[in-house]
Amino acid sequence: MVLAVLADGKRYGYSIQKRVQVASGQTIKAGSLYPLLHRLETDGLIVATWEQDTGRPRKWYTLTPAGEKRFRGAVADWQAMFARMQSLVLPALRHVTNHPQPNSA
Amino acid sequence: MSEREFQTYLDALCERLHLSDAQREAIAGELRDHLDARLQDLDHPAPDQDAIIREVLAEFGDATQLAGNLSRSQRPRFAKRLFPVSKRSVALGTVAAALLLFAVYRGGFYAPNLGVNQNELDLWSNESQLVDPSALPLISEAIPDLARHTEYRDRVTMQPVNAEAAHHILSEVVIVDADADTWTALKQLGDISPGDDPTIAVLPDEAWPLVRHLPRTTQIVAPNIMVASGKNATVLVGERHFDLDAADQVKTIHDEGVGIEIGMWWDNIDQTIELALSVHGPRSYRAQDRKPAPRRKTMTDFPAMIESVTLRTKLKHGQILAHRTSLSFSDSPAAHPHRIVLLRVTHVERETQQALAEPRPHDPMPTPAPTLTALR
Repeated sequence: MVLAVLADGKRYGYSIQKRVQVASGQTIKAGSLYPLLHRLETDGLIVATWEQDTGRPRKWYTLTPAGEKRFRGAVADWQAMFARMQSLVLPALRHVTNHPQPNSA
Repeated sequence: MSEREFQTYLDALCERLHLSDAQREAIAGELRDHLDARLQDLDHPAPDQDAIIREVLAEFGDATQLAGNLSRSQRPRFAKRLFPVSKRSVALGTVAAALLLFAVYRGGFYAPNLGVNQNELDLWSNESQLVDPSALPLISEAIPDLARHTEYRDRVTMQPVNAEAAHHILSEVVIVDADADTWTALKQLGDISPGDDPTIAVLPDEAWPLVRHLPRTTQIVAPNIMVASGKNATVLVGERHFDLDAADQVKTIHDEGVGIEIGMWWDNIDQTIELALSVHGPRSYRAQDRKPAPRRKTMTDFPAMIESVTLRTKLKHGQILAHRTSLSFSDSPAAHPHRIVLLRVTHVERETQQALAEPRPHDPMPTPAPTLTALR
């Protein structure tokens, strides 16, 4: 999710947290977010720069090419899984829709 | 108030970070910015700013845990750290292998100090005639320690044929689930245990648990006994007699030796062994000079009642001068479930049956005694 958020462009910690919350409805606690960001940075998937636009220094994160590649891989995996789920769920859904139970409203 | 709390939190966090000062400062700045951004994100000044700070602090969680997570996240993953080490290890390994080959070329390895040259023991002569060593599988598991632990032996070559013969014997063991009653029954077979046969000792009274759990130590206590241990079997082969007191009286002790003593409890015996052996390593100087604890001479009918083992090593200038080993036994009659290992040695059984069949002078009415077969 963090990689997906950063695929849109550079962000800082709090804005990543907020974006994830808005997009997914899930909250990443700051206590988990920052170690995760630092781990991704250590692994070379994101890169951080300090900027002082707001008057005080702020750490901005950007996706690296390696991070972008990882993100694309994750998206491909997710799409494949989604397709498998669809192939499983859709026929079942059609069956349920075409053969409603007699006592169902 | 909460602003101060926040600063206190950051201070505590930074103290626990195993990172450079610059990294600590950067992390503190980033977390501080997180709080500021959260406060600025409100449309209007928060009615209760302290509450927001407390929320953020709660989100950060425990300072120690966060510091640990942050510290770890700054380190390269294990595989990445391993790689440069591996290259170094390969180089060292190559040198070690060269030295190893050189050592083999110069005359082989020396097994631990048995005190008696294995070649001079004629324990294996019968077996080695019966067993074709080449037909036997390797037994690195069956005798795990004889070849590897060289600190107790002094230039006595361990012959592979001995190990192979021991493996052959291991395949012939009979394992009996034993409790105190079984032990008593076995004691009634005292005519064969620990062995009227001069070359085979089975279940020596005092040393049996020692043998089971401390094969290496047995090599010290009873250097004329060969010990072979498998997954669930320990076999003694050697001269029938050995004496802890005699072993205790090893006095090839030079002046100003260093005494090392370890004593622990039965239920932690494995750790005791490991600790004892680690301290007994010839390059270990951690042990303190201590007087030996008074030795208890409580005897027991059931060897599972062994309670502690004490090993002492005399060192001088890093050289082992002498070993002493003593056991103490529990006064408690509590019996531990145990397995007793017997050798299925046909001629011993036959001789025993003959011995049992013959009336004893002090026993006018021979009582039926359990046989090995019955105990199986």
